[in-house]
Amino acid sequence: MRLLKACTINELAKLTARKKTLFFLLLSALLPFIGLPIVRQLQNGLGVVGVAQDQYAISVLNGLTLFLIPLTIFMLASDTFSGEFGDRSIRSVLTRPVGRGKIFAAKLLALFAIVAGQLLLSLAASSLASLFLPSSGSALNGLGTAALAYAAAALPMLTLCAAAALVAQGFKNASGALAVCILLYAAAKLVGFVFPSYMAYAPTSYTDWYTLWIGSSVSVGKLVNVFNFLLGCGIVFYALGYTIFDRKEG
Amino acid sequence: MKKKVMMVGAGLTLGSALLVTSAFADVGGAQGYEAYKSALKATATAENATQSVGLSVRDNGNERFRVISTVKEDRASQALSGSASIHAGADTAKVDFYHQDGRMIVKSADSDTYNVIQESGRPHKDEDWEDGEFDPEFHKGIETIVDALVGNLKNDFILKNGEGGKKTVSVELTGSRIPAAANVIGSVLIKEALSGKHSDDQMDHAAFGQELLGFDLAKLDPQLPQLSQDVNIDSVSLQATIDENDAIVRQTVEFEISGKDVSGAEHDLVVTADIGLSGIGETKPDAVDLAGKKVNTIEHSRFED
Repeated sequence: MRLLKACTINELAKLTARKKTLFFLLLSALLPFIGLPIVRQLQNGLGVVGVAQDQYAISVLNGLTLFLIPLTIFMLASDTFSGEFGDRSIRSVLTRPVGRGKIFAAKLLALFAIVAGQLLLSLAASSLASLFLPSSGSALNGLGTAALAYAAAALPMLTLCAAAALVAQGFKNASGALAVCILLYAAAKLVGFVFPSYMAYAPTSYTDWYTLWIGSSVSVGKLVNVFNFLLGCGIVFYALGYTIFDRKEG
Repeated sequence: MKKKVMMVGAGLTLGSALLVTSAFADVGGAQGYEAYKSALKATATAENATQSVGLSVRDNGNERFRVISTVKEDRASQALSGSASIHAGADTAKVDFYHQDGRMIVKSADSDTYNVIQESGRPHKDEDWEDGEFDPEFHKGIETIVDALVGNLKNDFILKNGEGGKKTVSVELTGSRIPAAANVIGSVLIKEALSGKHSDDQMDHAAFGQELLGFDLAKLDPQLPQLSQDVNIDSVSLQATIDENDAIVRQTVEFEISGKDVSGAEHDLVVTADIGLSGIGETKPDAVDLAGKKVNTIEHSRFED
């Protein structure tokens, strides 16, 4: 456990040493403020609310889980799972007296920690930004709902991390892995939009499953179902990803 | 090495077990939505039925406007008959109408004159009656687009199975569950409709309203507040009761809209539509015999501009 922790901190240090990681973290904190003038302009120009104070954080989350966080995941997963093999820097990690299982877990945990950081920063920033919007309903209620949605959004993102780790290992360089991850994700999203019934069994169709948590009529059976599905996908991706990682030549 | 294989094996087994259970439990299914869709299709195939519609608009709890109508319709004979009463504030108008022999007949309850609207010059006389006969391929395409647009909102359709094959489907969207784009577009449309900018067009029709209904249509407009700022759709709800023949026998749709008028006063508008369907397959529209009655013939072309 101590080893895993040390490993994770090590991986996290490597990730945060990259400027683009910090840029994407910063971007998720700035996104709510970038969107704010647009929303205000729209509201004043049209005389409509559209997005009320207690709904702003959720609207931001839509954008985060659709574009920004998946992109961050693909980018970092490509770097840490194929980039390090490509430039052989993985050897300095593998030669340490730590099992490959722990290294794989640490890499994923570090990746997820960045995602969690993005979610937290964005929740705080969008709650702050929403104070500049016309209110409708209770702000406190809105904050509770937003916190729940952001927490729920973490699960599909974790599954996406495991999927990206699996795909990225098929490539020798980071840019190839990144391009293929993005292409696969975009294709899955597009097919899911045109033929929703075919893509019901793709984990990418549930990146917005947090909406199930915040409706006025929450169906527990549905929640359990999607939870099982995302968890199952995550475990399978993790097991496959680990198998490949374990056999890879450093 | 063996331990590793065991761990991976256990992981794969557990993961696949979870996947299979969720797949068997129909993870992608939206029973409520599918039930509502199939009932809509089944209801649309009805040859004849009696439809009663109650539409009301309340502003801050006070009723501003109410329409109650009953329509008997038969597709085979292209006939319909019905009556509608409109209440707006203290004003009330009641109208009877018939569609028989290719003509529309309108009669106000206050007068004994039957206004016959001649449709002879109208080229597409029968187009209203054929909307149930689209090309099935086209229908399928539309359905796919609607499904895609509805997206994850499908999960908000809650299905309750009652006794003897009866079902209810309900949806309630509030706050952030209403897609922001739909809310913006809907709010703009509502704002425009209430703005009073279109009353010029209505003036042209007012004379006809007077002539046909004995009721000045222009009177209806000022009853509703002119929302100009912070217009928002707060909630949308739908409740449908489906009978054992998969027909929607009752449907209630409610919109709650809030906003401020020019003077800054807040308004909460509630628009409710209550639609009932009965007598499916047993409805015969009433016919009126114009012999010996006061008849006023109006050319249909006067309505078209």
